[in-house]
Amino acid sequence: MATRVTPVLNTNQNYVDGNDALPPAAAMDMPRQVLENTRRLTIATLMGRLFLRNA
Amino acid sequence: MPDTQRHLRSSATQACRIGAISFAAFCAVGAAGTLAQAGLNTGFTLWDGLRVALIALTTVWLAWGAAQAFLGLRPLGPLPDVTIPFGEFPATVILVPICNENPTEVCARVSAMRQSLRMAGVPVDMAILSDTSHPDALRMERAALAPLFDGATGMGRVFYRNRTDQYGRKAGNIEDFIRKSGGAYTYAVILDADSLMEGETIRHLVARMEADPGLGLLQTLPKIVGATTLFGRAMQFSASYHSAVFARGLARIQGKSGPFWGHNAIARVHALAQCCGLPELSGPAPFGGTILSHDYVEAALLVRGGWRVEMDPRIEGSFEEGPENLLAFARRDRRWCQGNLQHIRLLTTPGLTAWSRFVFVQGIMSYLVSVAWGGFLIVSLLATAMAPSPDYFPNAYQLFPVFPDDRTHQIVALAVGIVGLLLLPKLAIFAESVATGRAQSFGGSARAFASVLIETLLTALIAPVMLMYQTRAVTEVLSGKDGGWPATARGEGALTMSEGWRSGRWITLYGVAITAIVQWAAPDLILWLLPVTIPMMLAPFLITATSWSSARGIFTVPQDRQQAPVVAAYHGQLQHLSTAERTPDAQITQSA
Repeated sequence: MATRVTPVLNTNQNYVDGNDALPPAAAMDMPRQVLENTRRLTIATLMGRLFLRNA
Repeated sequence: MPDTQRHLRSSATQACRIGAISFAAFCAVGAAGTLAQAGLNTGFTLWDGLRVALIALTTVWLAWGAAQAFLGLRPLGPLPDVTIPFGEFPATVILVPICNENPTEVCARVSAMRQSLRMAGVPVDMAILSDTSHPDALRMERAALAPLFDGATGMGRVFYRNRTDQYGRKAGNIEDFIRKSGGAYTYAVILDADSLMEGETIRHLVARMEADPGLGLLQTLPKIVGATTLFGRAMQFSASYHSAVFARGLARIQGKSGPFWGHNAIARVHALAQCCGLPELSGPAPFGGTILSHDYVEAALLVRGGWRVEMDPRIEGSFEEGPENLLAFARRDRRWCQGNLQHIRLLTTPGLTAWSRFVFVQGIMSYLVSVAWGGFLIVSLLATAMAPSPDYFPNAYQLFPVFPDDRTHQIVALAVGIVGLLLLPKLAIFAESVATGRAQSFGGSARAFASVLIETLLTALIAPVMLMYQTRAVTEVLSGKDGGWPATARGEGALTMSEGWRSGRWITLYGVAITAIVQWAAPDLILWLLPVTIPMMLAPFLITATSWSSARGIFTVPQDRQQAPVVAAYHGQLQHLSTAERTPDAQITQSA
């Protein structure tokens, strides 16, 4: 099961409580996810792997 | 697992997936084999090879759709009976992201839902998250929404804020809320600007999440409401009549790695915060930048994070509006096309389950298959045009002619198979609706059958037009053209002939050109191609005529007879607000 994210009270005063603004500020951490696979399988890496495996 | 959720057992999901994939593969091999046999009869050429590959690809897609319909024929168990103890309702917010929408309609929808929530005794907040950028639109939006901020305290308040940067578009809009205020809530019901949901439905969604701590997101199947045009009502009928069955099949196949369609769903806020902070992809649009089809990605990321994502088509009281004409549909489709093709970049995202990657492939295929159909037609034409004339006397001293083997049997068998894959699911759904009594709410068996028949004919007529739009969209995206995120044209109904002509004349030109080329190069094929070329030549008329108002007799849906309370409340509020806007006092206030 995933770990729980703990809510953090927001000290940002740009958003105030009230019916015309956002709800009572309670900031949450929302990490940017890693989506792109930066590993490139090239002939060089393939040869390298083969070499390491056989070495 | 409770009996009501039997269809979500891993063994059941695996069996459905294996069954559907096997069925699709069997149909593809059958179609490819039949066409290959036809080619072998007269000498297998490179063109035959191409055609076999293309027919295999397109048949896999058709059969996959048919398999979902067949899997959905059997009803799911009853809806889980879940409740929330009095006084223990968890902090929940309804998020309504808007961007340059009609503010009066937004106000009417929020008012209607608020009324429904109060009647159901469901204490949730609502937050209108505006990305509206135009100063005049923003001023009108603030004025129109003002009646909502009536000083209510405690839960049940309505909040509004406007972003100035629009980073990440809709996904970024929701993300901004979670980053700044998400900690105040346990659950977020995510809606679209045109969504409506009953208070009791929201209570059920929250209770389902409370009862199942591993559930990260629960998606409902929204019913389309408010359609008035022929195109809109056909879609509305199809979404109520056919999609109900397709969605059951989808629920069975997807299991605990279900879809997220971006709205009309409830999510656990800390699961979203933990898993769904979307980055911008490297490089320029259309393949880089903001992720357009963010919902599929968010569902995959939730599953990657260990959460379950479920879709439950049994949940009632969830509504949305649909495009009212073919142009609005094609515009939305262009955005979806770019978003789905962008997922090519995400097929190798680390840590995704194999099924999530397969879902991306399905989304990509749903657009590439149009190009494959177009390619199949072109290759078939070229093969016929370039085929050598038959040699009836291959030997010098031959008394009787040798007739080449006839391909007709195989081609007819193939055509019957393809049409069968298109029609059988619809006929099976009709039989299911009669057997279960569901057809009664669609005007009775005879009227439901007439609606199915007309919807099938209409789909066949507009299919070549959509094929052209989708092929153009795919070509544009693959050649690097960014379509952006045009504002959704809600309420855009009837088109004039000149609008239809301006939008569809390029398809007419293609239709005329193809007919002329076929007449010159392979006149024998001209009749075979008429079902494609005639709708293409008539594209401006089809675009226009399907945008006209439709008689209520056809495409009857249950919503016609008995409007859902929240939908009726929305129409009442809209009428009230529109009348108030027309009064002299309101006009003075607005102009000030």
